[in-house]
Amino acid sequence: MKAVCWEGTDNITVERVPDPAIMNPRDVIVRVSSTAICGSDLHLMDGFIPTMKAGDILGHEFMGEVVDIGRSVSNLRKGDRVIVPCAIACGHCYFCRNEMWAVCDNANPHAAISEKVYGYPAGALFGYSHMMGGYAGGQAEFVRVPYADVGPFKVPDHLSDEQVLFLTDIFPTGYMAAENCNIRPGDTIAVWGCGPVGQFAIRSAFLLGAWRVIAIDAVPERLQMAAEAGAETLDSMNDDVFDRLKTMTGGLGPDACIDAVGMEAHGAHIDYWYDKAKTALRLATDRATAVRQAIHCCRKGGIVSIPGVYGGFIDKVPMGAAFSKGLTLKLGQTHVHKYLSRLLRHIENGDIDPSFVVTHREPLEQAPRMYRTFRDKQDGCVKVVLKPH
Amino acid sequence: MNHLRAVSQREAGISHWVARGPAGMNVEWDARIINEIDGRLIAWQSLEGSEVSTAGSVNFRETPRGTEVRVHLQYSPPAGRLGAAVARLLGEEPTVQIHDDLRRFKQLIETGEIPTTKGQPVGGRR
Repeated sequence: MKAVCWEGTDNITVERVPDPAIMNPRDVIVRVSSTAICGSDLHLMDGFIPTMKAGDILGHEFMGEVVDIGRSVSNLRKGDRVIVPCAIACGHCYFCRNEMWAVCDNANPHAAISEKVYGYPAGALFGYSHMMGGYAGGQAEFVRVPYADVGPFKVPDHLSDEQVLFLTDIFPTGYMAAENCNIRPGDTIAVWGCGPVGQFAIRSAFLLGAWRVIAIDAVPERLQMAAEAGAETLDSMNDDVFDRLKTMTGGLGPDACIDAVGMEAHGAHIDYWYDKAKTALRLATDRATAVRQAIHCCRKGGIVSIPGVYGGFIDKVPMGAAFSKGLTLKLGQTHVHKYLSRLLRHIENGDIDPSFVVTHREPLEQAPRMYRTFRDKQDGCVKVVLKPH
Repeated sequence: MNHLRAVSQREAGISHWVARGPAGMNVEWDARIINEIDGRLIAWQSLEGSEVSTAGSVNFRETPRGTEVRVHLQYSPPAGRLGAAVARLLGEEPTVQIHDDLRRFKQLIETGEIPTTKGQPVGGRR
C-alpha cells in the first residue's frame, strides 16, 4: 500500500510499504477514506519530537471502513464506517475507566522510554514517535487499529467524511480546551493560535456559553476564519496583546486563556528570539512564547488551558505571575473517546459543521508538498485532507 | 514472562525453571514453594545445589485502585558479579526482567493481550 513516511527532519515521503495485518485479538484493519495533516504532525516534520525513526508511517487523524476484524472484537462488522480516535486506549485500566483515555496505562508497547523521560508510562498515539507507542499511523491506504472494541466510533452515512473526520482529534481537542476553562455566562475567553485547534476552541467556547472570544494570531486568513465564528481578533505581530486584552476587558483580563499554539510559537517579543536561540543550541527543547503570554494576560483566579503540544522543557515561565494571580493550569493530550457522542450530536443538530476548517483536498501522493504548504501557511492553508484511494 | 523459556512441575511443590540468560545461554534451577496464602502470597526458594540460588515471593494486595502485585526476589547470578555485569549490558538483569514481566502481566490481565508493533508496516529506507 501507499503510506506517508517520516524519513528524517524535513523529509516526508510517500512510499510503498506492506499492508498492515491483524496482530492482536482486539485489532481491526481500516481502509482509510480520508486522513488529515495535524498541526502536531508539523512538530514531527520539524524534528521537535524525539524517538522518531526513519520509515515511521505518520498520521493520527483518519477514518474509513472496517475491512478485517480480530477475533475478540464483537461490536464492529466489516463495512462499518468509523472514525478512529488519535489516542489509543485499552478501555480497562484505571485511567480509561476514569475517562482519562489519553493517558492509558496499557496501550504503549514502549512504555519504558517515556517512563525514563516523564517518570510514568505515556499513553499511545497513532504515528507519533516511539515514545508514544510507535504505532504506524493512518496517512496510508490501510491502518491497523488496536483495542478496536473501545476506540473506533461508528458515524452515520448522511454525514460526509469532512463533517466527521475531525472527531478523531482537533474538534475534541478544541472542545476539551474550552471545557477546561469552566466557562460561565459572561465569560471572556482569549485564544492564542487560530490554526485548526484554535478554530475549534473558539467555536466550542461559544457552544459552552462564552460571552466573548478574543482570537490572537498573525495570519490574516486565520483571523478572518475566527471572526466568521464571532470572535474578536488581535494581530499578535502588530497589536500589544496584553494591553489590548486588558483594555477590551475593562482592566479585568480574560477569564480564561487557551494556548492553542504549543512548542513552536512565533512571536514579536524578545523571548521568542531567546527561545529560538536556545532550541537551536539544544539548551531548550520547546519555544514557549504563547503560554508565557497566556499566563501573563489571564485575569486573577483565571484558568490557562493548554491544548498546544509541549514535549520537553521550557524556561522563563512567569511562575510569579501565575502564583500571585492564583491561576489554574489545565493541559494535556485530549481524552478523545470521552467527547465523541456529545460532539457527534452537535454536528447532527447543525450546531457546528466541522468541514468549515478544510482549505485543501489532495490525493495522498501530495502529502510531502502539503506538509510544506501547511507548515509555511502558504496559499491560505488551514487544514489539509488527504485521499488515499 | 518474556525471559522464561519453560516451567515444569517436578513433584508436588517443586518446579523446574529454565530462563534465558546472558549471551543466549540457558539458566536452570529447581524451586520449592515455602509459603502460600490463598489469593495473597506465594513464596519460593531454590533447592540446594541449584545453578542459581534464588528466593522470592509474589504478594497480592487489594487497594481502592485495584490489585497491587509486588515481587521480591533475591538471587546469586551463575558467574558471580561478572555474570550480572554482562547480564546488565544485555538487558537481562533480573530487576529489568521483573519490571518488564510485571508490566506485561498487568497488560495481559487488564486488556487480554500484550500491546505490540512488531512486524507492522514501515518505510523501506530504515
